[in-house]
Amino acid sequence: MPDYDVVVIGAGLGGLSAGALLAAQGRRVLVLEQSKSIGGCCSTFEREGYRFDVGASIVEIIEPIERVFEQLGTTLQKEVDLIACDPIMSFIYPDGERVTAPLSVEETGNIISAISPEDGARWNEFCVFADDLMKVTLDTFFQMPAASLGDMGAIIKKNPRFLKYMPVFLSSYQDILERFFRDEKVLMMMAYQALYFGLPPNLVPGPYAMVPYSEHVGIYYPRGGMIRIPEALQRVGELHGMQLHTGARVSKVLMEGRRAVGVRLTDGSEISAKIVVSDINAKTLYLDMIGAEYLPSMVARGIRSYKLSLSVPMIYLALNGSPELEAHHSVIAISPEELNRYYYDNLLTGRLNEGPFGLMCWPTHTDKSLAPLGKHVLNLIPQGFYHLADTDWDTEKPRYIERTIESMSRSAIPGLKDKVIFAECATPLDFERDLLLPEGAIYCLQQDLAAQAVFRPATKSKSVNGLYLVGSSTHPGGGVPSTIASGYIAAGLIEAHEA
Amino acid sequence: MCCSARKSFITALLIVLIIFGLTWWYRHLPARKQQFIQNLIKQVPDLPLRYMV
Repeated sequence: MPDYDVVVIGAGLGGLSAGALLAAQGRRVLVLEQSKSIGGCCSTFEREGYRFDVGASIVEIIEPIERVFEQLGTTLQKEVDLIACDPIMSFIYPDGERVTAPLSVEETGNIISAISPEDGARWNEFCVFADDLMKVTLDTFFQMPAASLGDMGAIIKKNPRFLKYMPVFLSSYQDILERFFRDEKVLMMMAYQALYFGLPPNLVPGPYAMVPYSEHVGIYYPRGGMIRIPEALQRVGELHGMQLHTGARVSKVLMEGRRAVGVRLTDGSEISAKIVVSDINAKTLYLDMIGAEYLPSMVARGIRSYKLSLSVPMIYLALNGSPELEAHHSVIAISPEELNRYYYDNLLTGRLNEGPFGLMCWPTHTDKSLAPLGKHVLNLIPQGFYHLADTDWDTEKPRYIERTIESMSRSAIPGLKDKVIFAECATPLDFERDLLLPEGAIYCLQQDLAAQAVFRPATKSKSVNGLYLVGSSTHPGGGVPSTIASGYIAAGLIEAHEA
Repeated sequence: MCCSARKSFITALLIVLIIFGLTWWYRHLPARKQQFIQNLIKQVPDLPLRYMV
């Protein structure tokens, strides 16, 4: 008899949601996490009394998360103290002007109307479009597998309105935005969010253009830090009997023919299981932990063909006073074309741009408990990528921190430099070392149209029996709600296919 | 034979017209749309392989 019914590799959001749901099905589940803490990119660490979020900075589109907790016999609201963020985003323009978007769709429409009356009128049309698209995707993509034409047929059968949005998949994020908006300043309020999917606006698939609207449905911050979400999944999962071991790094998936039968840890110990669930990068899983020799050659070639997603550096600042910002999230406004140019001229050539742009997350704007009284934490997510021309991140890191703080002090956050108590930075190389993300790829695989749905590694492996994938590598992709939804989808498939 | 040759000529003409039309359409697209299409076309050979993963 195997040691466990299910062994889960990785305690990210996908691994924990799958583990908890499978334990609730009555299965003996063991989750193995190589790091000392859980959550992967959705985690929080403490330094000298300040709490910093590792990567993910807010949660939005909470319906898939609510569904998981309901299936576990509780509610998201009961398990996690979510604080609603309002305003949702502040935009800092190159000329110094600041525009702050409140949660209210109507008030945001008024702000856009003040910039461009035509775009203000079209904002309402955009919201109707994005709201319907969001409802259709929540009803289908966030609940159902999408690994085959049969799965796609089931999606269309469940919600025929999905067909209406098929042409949107053949458009880019930028196409959709420019269908509704003309004014450059308005477009600058909506372009940056494309990077949430790791690509510039001209390459991100069109459906993601609903995000500038979905933020207005609600964005939330868990009191105590983003780690409260994985902690809640762990807590509820353990109530159902799930076991979790941290500091347990898997080196191999054990195979018998074409079937996964357990895992081997780096200490040499082996754990047998009927089912293996992977919450790690699919390329690492298939090529390193399983090995191409166990895969049909076409599958191995398919795995190799995926490009890794974008990575970003994160700078964590402890401040002795409030930064000159207006919201939990602020962004240096940038046009879609400038973002596209950044991708082609900088990211693909490895050359960092001296001009500042990026996202600023101010968690203590929402939750004062993250820092000592009167102090603040601020995360800067400036531009950056894994491959640097002529240098490497270990060499570049000290200069990068200093240059970013200097540049932000001169432009977006006056006086920032004088408020910094200490600064830390996680570079793409650090993410690779600490979180075992190849090249620091925060969304595992690129999320363009050619790596979506039927073209993304399947949740139920097509080449290895007893193997299931969760997390950013599989459908529906990267991000907090998506990765939690991937655990829900995997648990449903296992319930249907594995006695 | 004559009929068959005419059919082949018409087919060839249609193919040339379609290629010409697509080229004309592509060249008149904004750069960002050309990049979107280029990115997809480059990955078309990988799609059957990815479908198997």
